[in-house]
Formats: sequence, structure tokens, C-alpha cells
Amino acid sequence: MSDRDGTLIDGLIKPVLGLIRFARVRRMSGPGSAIQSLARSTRERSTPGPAETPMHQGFPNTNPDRSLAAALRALPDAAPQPDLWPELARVLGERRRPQAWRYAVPVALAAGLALAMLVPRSAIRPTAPETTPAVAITTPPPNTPAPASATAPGTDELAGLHQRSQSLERWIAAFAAHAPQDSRDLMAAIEVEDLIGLVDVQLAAARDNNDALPLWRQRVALLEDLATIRSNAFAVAANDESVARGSSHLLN
Amino acid sequence: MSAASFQIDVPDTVLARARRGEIGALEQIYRAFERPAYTLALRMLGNPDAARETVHDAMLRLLERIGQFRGDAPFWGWLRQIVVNEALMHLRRERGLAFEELPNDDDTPGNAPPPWALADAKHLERALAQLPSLTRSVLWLYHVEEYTHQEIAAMTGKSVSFSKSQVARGSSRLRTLLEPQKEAAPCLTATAH
Repeated sequence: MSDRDGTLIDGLIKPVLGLIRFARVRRMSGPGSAIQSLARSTRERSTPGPAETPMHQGFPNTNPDRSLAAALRALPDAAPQPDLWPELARVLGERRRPQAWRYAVPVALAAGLALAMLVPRSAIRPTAPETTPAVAITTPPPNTPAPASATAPGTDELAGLHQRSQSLERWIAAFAAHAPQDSRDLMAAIEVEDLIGLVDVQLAAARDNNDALPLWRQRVALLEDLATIRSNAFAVAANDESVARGSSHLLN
Repeated sequence: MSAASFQIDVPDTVLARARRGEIGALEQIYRAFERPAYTLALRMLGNPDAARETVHDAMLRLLERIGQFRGDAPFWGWLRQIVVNEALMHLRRERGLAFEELPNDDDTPGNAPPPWALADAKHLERALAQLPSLTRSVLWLYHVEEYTHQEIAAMTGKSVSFSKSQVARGSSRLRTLLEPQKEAAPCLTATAH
């Protein structure tokens, strides 16, 4: 191991191990007890006695340790500028949205899968997918590695994914054209569509099947998510009103 | 006072509302702790932008996990630990918690009052800002937040003696920086960053 590797380990791993040790020490001393004892000791020690009062407040002090602590504590507090809350509130709102899906997704997934099974495969044309205004996703980029090559590794899976992707797109387009969506579902659908767009950008840059295969898997998974979202309105209405109430409560 | 200002008791009703995800309660908690959290981060990092980022990340982590807070320990202690961890992680990202060697300043206090007892806040803040980040963080965590050397050693991934030496050398360097007769000494700028 080179000196540089050693330095890297010192710099990255040791502090992490230290934090783990720290967490263990705190856990071993009982839940919250370390913090409680810390609070106790802080409360006991934070009231400055005569020896802790800084000189500049008019009291002599000859204990350097205590007087430094007191001087440091006497420094003024500061507040973040500009205000951090608006950004925090925005991020919190965005991050809390998926919690609703913990309840809605299983129900919607079941309904979506059931619907998908009801759609006969023969009804799905193998030609290029229709484009409807209701679906923001696009067909895969034209320079995506072709899945049809019989000899390239992963070709069969790639061809299957390609076909599945087209089927899902078509199904979503046909379904979305008639399905009413509430604002929550629309927002979620937009997010997934953005992600699909991102995968398509990566697919356009894929050099070979090895690059493309994981991206196609991802694309199909995202399309399945989108199909789930699109069918959500029916699923929630058909199953449990309380799910919708719980979801909206979480979003409030 | 920074150490004391962290010790804010959050009413149970506010915590309960925050656990339910009420944005108003989350803001109440944020407003109560924004100054102590930011002050701690600023003292440790010495950079307003880095302190803002640290408080943002720490608050986000706290507010997202507030539902898991069991209430058997002071809320402020939990938050403070998150802020300290975030600040240390920031230092690690920036400098790998690099340790800048401080010279062994002559620290023979004698009978005179220590210079920080006579210095005003601006001078002390300026001197503090001249310490290496890790030294300043250790000094602050020990003196103001009252963590033990063992706790600081565990948090920073260093030894107990490292924590002790940082406190001693940091205090000594502060003394040198605040002594009027030593202000022009060349070593004063050696560790500035």
C-alpha cells in the first residue's frame, strides 16, 4: 500500500469509523442517555460563576481555560442570510411527496397490472408508437444501439425490453388520453417523464449493448411506474377512499 | 450565549404537530434553532456560505426524520449533534480534516489576565478566524459546546491526545494573536487560511 493510499484511508475511513464508534458509545450507554447527560452537564456548567465571567464585562478572571470558554460563549450569535426557510420548505414539500406513494403505489400497481393483463398483446401494434399530447415521453433516440443484432451479448433481453417499452408507451398513451388525473398524480407523472427523458439522453450516448442494457431496464421500469401513476385515479377510486385521504394528509 | 441558546425546550404540542408533517410546526422549530445552529456551524467552519449549507442540510435531515424522534432525550441535543456531524462532514469534504500543524507558542500566562478576557468580540472573532478550521472546531466543541475530549476524538476520528493538543495549541495561538505586543510577529499569519 502506498503512502498516498494510507493517507486516503486516514482521511476518509478513520473519521467514519470514529463516528461509528461514537454512535456505538452513545447507543451502549442507553437511548438518549448520552445526550441527556450532555444536557445535564451543559446546564450545570453553563451558568457562569464569578470566575467564568469575562474581564471585559467587569469581573477579573485568572483561570485561562474557564475565561476562554466564557469569552467564546459571549460572542454574538449569528443568523443565516438570506433566510434559509423558504428553500427548506420547498425541498421538504418535494421530498415528502413520495411518502404518499407508500400507500398509493401498491394499490395502483395492482390495478395497473390487472389492466395491463386485460389489454391483449395482439392489440399492441409492433410499429412505432403513437404520439399523443397526453404523454410527454418520447420514443427512444434513433441512435440507440439496435437490439436486433443476433450476435451481440444481451441482444435477446434488449429486444424484449425494446418491445416492452413500446408496448408500455402505447398503453400509457391510450390510457392517459381518457384517464382523469388529479394534480398530485400529474406532478408525479411529470417527474417520472423527466426521468425517462434523462434516460433517453443517456441512451443516445450509449456506445454498445453493454451500455444500453441497464438503461433500457431503467427505462422500462420508469415506464411501468408511469403506467402505475396513470392508472392511479381508477385504483384509488376503486379501492379505498381512506388511502386518498391519508395521502393528501401527508402532503398537507 | 451560544451554548445556552441551543438549550431550547420544544413544546410537546409543537413536536406532535411537526411529526404529523404540519409545515407551520416545522417552521416554528426551524425558527427556534436557526441562530444557534448557524452560529455553531459558522464557528466551526469559519465560512458563512459553508455554514448556511451545513445548517440547510442538518435542518433538512432533522425535519425529515422528526417522526422518528422518540422524545426521551432533549430535542436540542439531537439537533446539535446533527449540526456538528454535518459540519465535520463538510470539513472532511473540503480538507479531509487535514491537520495544520500549529507552532508551540510560548504559553506562560503568568498572573496577568488572559488577553481574551480583555478583547472585544470583534478582535476575538478575528483571532478565532485565523485558527485552522479543525483546531477552531475542536476548541469550540470543547469550550463552548462542552463535548469531552473522548467525544471529540470519536467524532473527528482522531485520538484523545489530539483533541487535547488542539485545545492547548489553539488556546495558545489565540493568546498570541490577541497579545498586542505580538501582533506583528511573523508566525501570526503562518496558519491563516
